[in-house]
Amino acid sequence: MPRMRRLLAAFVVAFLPQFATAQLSIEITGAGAQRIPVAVAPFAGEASLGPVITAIVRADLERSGMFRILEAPAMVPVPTEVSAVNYAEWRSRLADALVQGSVAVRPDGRFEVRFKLHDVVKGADLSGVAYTLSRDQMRATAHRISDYVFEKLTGIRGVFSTRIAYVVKRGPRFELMIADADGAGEETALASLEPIISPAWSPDGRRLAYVSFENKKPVVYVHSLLDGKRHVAANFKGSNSAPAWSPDGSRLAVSLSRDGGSQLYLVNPDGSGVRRLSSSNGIDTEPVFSPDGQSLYFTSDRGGSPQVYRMPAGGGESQRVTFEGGYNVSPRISPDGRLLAYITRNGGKYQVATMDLATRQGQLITDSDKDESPSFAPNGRMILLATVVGGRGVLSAVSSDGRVKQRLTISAGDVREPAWGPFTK
Amino acid sequence: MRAILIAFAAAAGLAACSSTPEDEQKPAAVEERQQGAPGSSASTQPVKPGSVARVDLTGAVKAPARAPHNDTGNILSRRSIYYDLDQYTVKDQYRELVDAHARYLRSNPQLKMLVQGNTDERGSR
Repeated sequence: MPRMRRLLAAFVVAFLPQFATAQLSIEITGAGAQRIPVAVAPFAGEASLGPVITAIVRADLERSGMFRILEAPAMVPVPTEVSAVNYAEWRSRLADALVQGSVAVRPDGRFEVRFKLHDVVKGADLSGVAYTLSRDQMRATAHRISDYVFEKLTGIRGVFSTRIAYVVKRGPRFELMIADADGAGEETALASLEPIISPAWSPDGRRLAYVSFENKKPVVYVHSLLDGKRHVAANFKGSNSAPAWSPDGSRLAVSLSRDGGSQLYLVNPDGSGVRRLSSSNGIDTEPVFSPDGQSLYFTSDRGGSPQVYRMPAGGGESQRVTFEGGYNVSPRISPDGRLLAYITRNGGKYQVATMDLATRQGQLITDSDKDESPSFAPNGRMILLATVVGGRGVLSAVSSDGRVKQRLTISAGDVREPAWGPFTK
Repeated sequence: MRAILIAFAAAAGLAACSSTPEDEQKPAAVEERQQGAPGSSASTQPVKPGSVARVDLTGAVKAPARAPHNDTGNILSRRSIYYDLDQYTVKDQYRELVDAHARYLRSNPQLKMLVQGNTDERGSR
């Protein structure tokens, strides 16, 4: 056993540099009440790939707040996906599930990662996957394994392979960043000396709409991530802000002040076909489509205080949605259309609340302050938001029931304006 | 602990002939997937490093001209006027500054002024 300890210590030390290179670091500050105990045995032969598959899978599952990762004991020989499992032994270790796998180098220099998931309680093999990959696909493959395990054990699609967008401010620079959902693999999509705000992912995950002040005024751009090509989607007299994609990607809802006060408009993503939707005597902004594309939720102060309203996506009569409290803004709708997340003022603090749209039951889910820009993970389980801790802008993720909490910080910079990207096929 | 470990190692080592509980299901096959190969199944689309092209607008910094409004000793170099919370009246301490800019603009009609409003953290961002 002492030898094992030493081995484990070496293992951990070997991994630290890998994580230290990630710009965005994640700290888990709250976990779910019921966590599934899972053991992930070290993947046999993974040293050939830079031994990180096991570590990433463990970190992914742990971070979700729905799993408790058990320490895997030393096993000789190191088990692989074809090794038989001593279910009684794992039951005695209180594991509900076990992942065993291997990494092999192929003759063509690529790698093969195979794994199997076992239901320890039932003593059953829950199948597995084999991937053929090149070295630079290692992280993506580990996230796919996490997605597979997460879905098999919870019945919910995992979001470990999705990406997030956010804006980092360092000194005078604003950078629009794209990273994996775990904060790793960060890349700069746009760097500017003027603010970049309100990024919104296209439904296919290939483009972002956002507001850039590079011409000293707010202009809506659509930016293709793969080739960096960008074009103006809305640049009218006055303010152009708050873009939101329709679920089919064919339209953007925006807030424009070209005809006076800020009102809602629809525009094609190429900038053509602008059409006015709302006509109120207040400020109408922050539109967002319901997942079925039928409705727009938005913020308006037409009633005297900023509140969330809903209107048909083609225009028409609006209905007020939030009534509790004097300040409710930044609506977002969960992917299943059932939950509204928004920012509410609660005793001088700005926090994230959710409302069950069927029962109109509201619930505060954060205890931070200056929360803004909530966005749902594509499986609806987590909400990403920006908040302020110790005077610095940080990102935070909270489960939609408020139980699981994570904080994402960045070294030497403010991070803000997060947006969780869609599932990619 | 040691006994358990040995038993465990034995079980793992004898994979081929280890006893199988009767209720254990037939092991499911490992599904083959190509990660990112041409014509691969739709279930895999790897996120390759460098999949985001970088657009940098920060190189376009203009050298400041030495006009009166850029001369730090001139009142015209001061641009900020602060209002009280929920108020829109220009406070007395800023009247001289506003007047100076008004005179400067009137005597230099070719100049343009951008008026920009900013807020602090009171209220949501």
